[in-house]
Amino acid sequence: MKRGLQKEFLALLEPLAPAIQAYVRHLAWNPTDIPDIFQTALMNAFQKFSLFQRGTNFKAWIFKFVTHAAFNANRKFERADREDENIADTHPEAAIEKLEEDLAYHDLLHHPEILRGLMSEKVSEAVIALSPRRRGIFLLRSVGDCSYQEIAHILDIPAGTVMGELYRARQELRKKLTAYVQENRLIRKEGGHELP
Amino acid sequence: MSCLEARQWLSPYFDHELEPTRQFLIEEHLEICGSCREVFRRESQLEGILKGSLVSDAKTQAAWTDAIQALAVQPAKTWSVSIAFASIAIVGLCLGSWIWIQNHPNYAKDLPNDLEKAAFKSHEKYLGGQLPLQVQGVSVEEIERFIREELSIKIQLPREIPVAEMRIIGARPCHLAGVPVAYIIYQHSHEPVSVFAMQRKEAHWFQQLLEFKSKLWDSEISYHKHGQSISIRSAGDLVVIVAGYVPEEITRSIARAFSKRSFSS
Repeated sequence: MKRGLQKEFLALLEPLAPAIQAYVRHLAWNPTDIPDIFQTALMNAFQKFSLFQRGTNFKAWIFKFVTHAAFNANRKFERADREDENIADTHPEAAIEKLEEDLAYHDLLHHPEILRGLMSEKVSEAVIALSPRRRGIFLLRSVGDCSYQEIAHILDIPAGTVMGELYRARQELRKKLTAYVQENRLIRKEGGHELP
Repeated sequence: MSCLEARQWLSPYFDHELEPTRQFLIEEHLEICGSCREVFRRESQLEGILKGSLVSDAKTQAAWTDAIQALAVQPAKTWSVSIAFASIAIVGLCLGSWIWIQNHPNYAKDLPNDLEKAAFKSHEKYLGGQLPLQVQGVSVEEIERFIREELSIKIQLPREIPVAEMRIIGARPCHLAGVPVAYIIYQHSHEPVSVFAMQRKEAHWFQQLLEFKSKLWDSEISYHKHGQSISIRSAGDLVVIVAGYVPEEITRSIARAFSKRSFSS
């Protein structure tokens, strides 16, 4: 009977494997914790699998175990969750205005392909620099393709918080990447000529 | 809806998380506002590139594979371990039982006549030189001491047996069907007579001796057949078995002498 449960569990897990791998890859503070995170999450999930109600959301269910294992592993490294002070979070309109006035960001927006040229390490660095909760929310959305409701369930937070935090996470990432692009002069403007 | 209002909902719009009314209003605005339409398009492209950068790597994939394999193997391992342990336990049990049965064959066999067979088997071995005595040519007291020290059997050997030409030869430890006994060899007119003395608590191993457990000191079994005589008698805390190719009165006399000795001391 256990073999049958195992088969069923692995069958449900298989299509989610790439997303879970990418999620943990960028959520874990220390890459050496990744094997333990997978082992812990999968073992715990399988032990509870008999309690999982068939037909309900397996993706949200398994991501909850993965997130819990990752957050536990990160606990010894993570700084306290904090609100970003640079972006006004109470007045999103003001934040958008500020960002759009930023020429560097404007350039990045017009040449998003520049990011393709960046080592994925730089993007990862920017993601890892996010606070734990924002990082989790952003990754669950970006690589996990989870809905706001699913993210709220996985992280045990209100759906409204998901929306606000995701917005702030995206802003923060764009800010960091814009700064990197600017510092490394990946876009140059000389006499109005823009490099492709 | 203004451009500012539209753009503030850019994030949930991309995620298809807007309520229908707001979704409709934004789409309506995007149809008429080329600037916002361009911003939305580029933001969507940027988001796609960001998402595309956040992939797994070979190490993470390997770690995932290991975790899946560990999960797949674990129940089988547990099962195999259980089977292995069960097998070892069964083999151990069988082996232990075999060893125990070898030492106590009567437990698994038909009990009647086993004592007779066992006694004469040892007698034949002695006659064939396969049971050399460990003490001989010494006094009765020394044989008693030897038996007490070697077998922890407290035995009182008769100082005389009312049978002509009867003498004690020697003794050694022995066993009857796995039951430890003191083996004393007497000789009657050059014919060896085997005397086996076992502790009464071992008597239950032999069907013939079961009655000895409850009966009094004058319990006796004695018979002669096919040239073999055997006499069995209780002697205090001991049961004495006398066997030989001698007349029955010889074995009976020896047995009674042991019994008398044990109750006179």
